[in-house]
Amino acid sequence: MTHLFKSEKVQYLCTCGSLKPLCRTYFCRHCLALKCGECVFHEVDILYCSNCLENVPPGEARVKKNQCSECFECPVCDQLLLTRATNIQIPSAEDPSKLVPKKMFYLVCGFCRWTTREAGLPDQPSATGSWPDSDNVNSARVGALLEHYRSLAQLDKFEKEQKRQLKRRSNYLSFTADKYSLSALAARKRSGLPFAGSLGMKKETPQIYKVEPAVASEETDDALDPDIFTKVLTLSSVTTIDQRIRQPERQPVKSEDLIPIHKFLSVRRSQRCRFCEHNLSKPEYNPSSIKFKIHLGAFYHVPDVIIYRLARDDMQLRLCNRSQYPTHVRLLSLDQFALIAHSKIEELERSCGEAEKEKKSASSMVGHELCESPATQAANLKTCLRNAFKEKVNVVLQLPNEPILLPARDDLAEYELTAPQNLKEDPKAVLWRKGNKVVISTPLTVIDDELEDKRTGFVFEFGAVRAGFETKEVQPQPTNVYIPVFISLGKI
Amino acid sequence: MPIHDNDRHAVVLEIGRAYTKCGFVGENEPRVIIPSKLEGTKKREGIYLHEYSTKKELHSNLVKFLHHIFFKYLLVNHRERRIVIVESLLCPTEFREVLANVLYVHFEVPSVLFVPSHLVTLYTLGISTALVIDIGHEETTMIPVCEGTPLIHAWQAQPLGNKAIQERLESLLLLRAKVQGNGGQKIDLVDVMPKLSRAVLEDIVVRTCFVTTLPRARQLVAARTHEDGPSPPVPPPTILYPLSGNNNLTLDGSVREESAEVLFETDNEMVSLASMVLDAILASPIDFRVPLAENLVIIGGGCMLPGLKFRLLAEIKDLQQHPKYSSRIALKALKVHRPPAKSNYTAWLGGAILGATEAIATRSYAREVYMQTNRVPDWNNLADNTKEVDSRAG
Ligand SMILES: Nc1ncnc2c1ncn2[C@@H]1O[C@H](COP(=O)(O)OP(=O)(O)OP(=O)(O)O)[C@@H](O)[C@H]1O
Ligand SMILES: [Mg+2]
Ligand SMILES: [Zn+2]
Ligand SMILES: [Zn+2]
Ligand SMILES: [Zn+2]
Ligand SMILES: [Zn+2]
Repeated sequence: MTHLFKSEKVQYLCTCGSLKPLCRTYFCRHCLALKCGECVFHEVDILYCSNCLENVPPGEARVKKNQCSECFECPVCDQLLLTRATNIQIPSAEDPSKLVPKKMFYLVCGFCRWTTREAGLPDQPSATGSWPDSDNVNSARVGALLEHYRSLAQLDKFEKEQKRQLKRRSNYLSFTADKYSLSALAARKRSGLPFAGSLGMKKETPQIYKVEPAVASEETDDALDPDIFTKVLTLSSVTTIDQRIRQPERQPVKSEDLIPIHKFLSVRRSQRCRFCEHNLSKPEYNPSSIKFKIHLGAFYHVPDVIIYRLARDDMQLRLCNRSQYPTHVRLLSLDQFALIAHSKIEELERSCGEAEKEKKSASSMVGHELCESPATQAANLKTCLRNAFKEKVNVVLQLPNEPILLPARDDLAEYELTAPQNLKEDPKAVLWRKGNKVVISTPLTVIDDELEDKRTGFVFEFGAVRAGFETKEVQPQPTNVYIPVFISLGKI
Repeated sequence: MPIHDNDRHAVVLEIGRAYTKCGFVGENEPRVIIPSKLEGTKKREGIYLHEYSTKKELHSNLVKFLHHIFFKYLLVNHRERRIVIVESLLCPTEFREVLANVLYVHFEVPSVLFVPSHLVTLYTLGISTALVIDIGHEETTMIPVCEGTPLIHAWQAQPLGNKAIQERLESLLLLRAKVQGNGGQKIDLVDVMPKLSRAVLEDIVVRTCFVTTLPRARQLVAARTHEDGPSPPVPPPTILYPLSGNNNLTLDGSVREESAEVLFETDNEMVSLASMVLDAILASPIDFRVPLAENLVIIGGGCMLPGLKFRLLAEIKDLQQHPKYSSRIALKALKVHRPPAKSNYTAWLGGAILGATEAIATRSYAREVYMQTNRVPDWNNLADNTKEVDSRAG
């Protein structure tokens, strides 16, 4: 779907200042702002194996080091390994003189034909097999070193604490000598209560866990085999560096030492708005489902624009509203936008001052309050304005003056042939409409012919309802949202 | 946010110029080792993080790269994880500053602990004095660590890493190699392609090159420099290396043997891996020279080339006899350590061990502090950072 709608020509200005196609952005319905993949928080939501689609709970994934225990990849070419069965004849359990068939399994790469047999691994009696796990031969030593340094650091911390407490205690005593007289301290001692605080913390001195320091040797472990000077090297018997580093703890040099590699788990991510921390997208738990619990793709909330027709001095744009609310959109030139934005910012800042009187600082605000606060809105508008004017345009459009009604998405309307209700609109501006789609005429004028590639921009003004308000009994009050859009026209 | 919760192990990252190692504190090895570059597309090759032209470019590349690490490999929420960065004391400040900005501001990580790679390498051994030799992609760096203190003034750094070998290989190939097509006809490589890609060069080095022995190396030099000198040693047999299409490269044994010689050549101002070791030792306090020579730790993917460590020891022993050093240095023995890790992630492992201790809570640099000061401590402070724990070790 993204590919179908992805257009590099029409790009929306994200809150963070980067330009993105609409289908690549989210629309935070709390902040009423565009957010792209680079300016949202990503979070791990679900761990799963992309091959067997098994969901793996986080605890289990941690133990298994984020690997699927049943799926393997080829150590030579990274393709998925397939399980193959063979029949062998083994002596029967009841009558050892008779042979009975038994199924055995091995793994084979469908792509490069590598097999577990090639690696000298015996076939397994079960399909999932207990293929060798690559164990780190050094784990015991590393474990001991870990213990050692942990205990050292513990002791270090303990001694520092002691020092600090000693200091504090002596200060304390000298300051409070009269308040807590010596007799009072003695009484505390008699009753078994700890001395004023500090001694109660006394712990046993941590013990150092000792390890043997490593011993160096005069011999290195890499003396050359004299064969290297006389034998012909078979290239395929030596692993490549990619194959080596895929098994960090083993890094086999000989191809015959390669073993099957557990497939890495994948994640499904959820996205959160950086500003208000609300979820923008959250997938369903089931890894095979492509549905979302929450999905605030801008595609469904912000009017979509495509170039419908383009000539040297004429252009038609098709607008489409995919949200469930009808909306009035206005297309503003960048200059019009600047005027509106400036007066808005002024107004907002005035109410900012009033809010301050009510003693509400930004830090004490949470959730909705923060998103809606005039200070936030003013700041957002300012950034938007600044970013919009950073973009260069060399073509201006003659935009319709009147707001244009974009009906809500109605899947059934697609099949209705009836013409839309009578709307009083300028037939020169609105050329045609059907359902939630409208084609408008936007004649263009080149203002700067220096560059061959032409680019133009305008600002969408449309009303959107802040999330959380739909449920209230009062009619939801849409807030005006401004989103700059830039269109690359190429050579015209 | 309960950061200290045992479930949320801190992330350990070492972003090398060639490979990035990443995983979690307290684990024995990195979860993944991946090239330090953005994945390429069909149209263009991936861009290496360190090959940036502007800070802005580095910033945006790091954002993409780390996003990948968090959500494709480690599968964690970055806002809940402390980060340990293992980096060289010689890492450019600009890179560190941009990295810090990306971590604290874009990813909002709660804290970052920067640890010097040479120093934390000793955590993998349980010792506190050693000369740490890191043979990386672009350069080899050496820093002596004495009683847990890195002697910054004694550091050595030279562009003698895997990249130098790759460049030597390329020039030798362009000089000597032929391309053999389907028909069997042979054309000089230079006439087919004027340049070889980094990927091909790395592959040839990693899979076919080795570091030859000292006697053979001497024989090679003698044969090259004296017309009536000895004949060169018989090179290993030539093999065919497949290039794109049906072309094969004739890969001479001599090319495979001689490419790594670039690390040991002394004709330009006597700077070789061996001289760097002796210079580092000489720059250290007298009392520490013998202990340092008996505690060499060789790390970095570069030392995984077969024969390299063996040769390095032989070269150092040999160079000691040179008049430049013989009067000033008398080492009894040279000894190397074998850390419990593959060489290319040894420093990472040190960071993973340190990060699993209380140090992660007491010495990390918290986000709030960064947001106020907008800077991270420079490496002088970093060197002190871990001193206390260290000085007790061993
Ligand atoms: N397992 C291996 N076998 C052989 N060679 C390797 C291996 N791993 C890495 N190398 C080589 O070692 C070189 C350095 O790898 P390393 O991971 O140390 O680089 P880095 O740390 O990214 O570089 P730098 O330290 O210069 O920033 C690489 O160019 C690579 O070709
Ligand atoms: Mg490195
Ligand atoms: Zn954005
Ligand atoms: Zn699976
Ligand atoms: Zn394969
Ligand atoms: Zn929001």
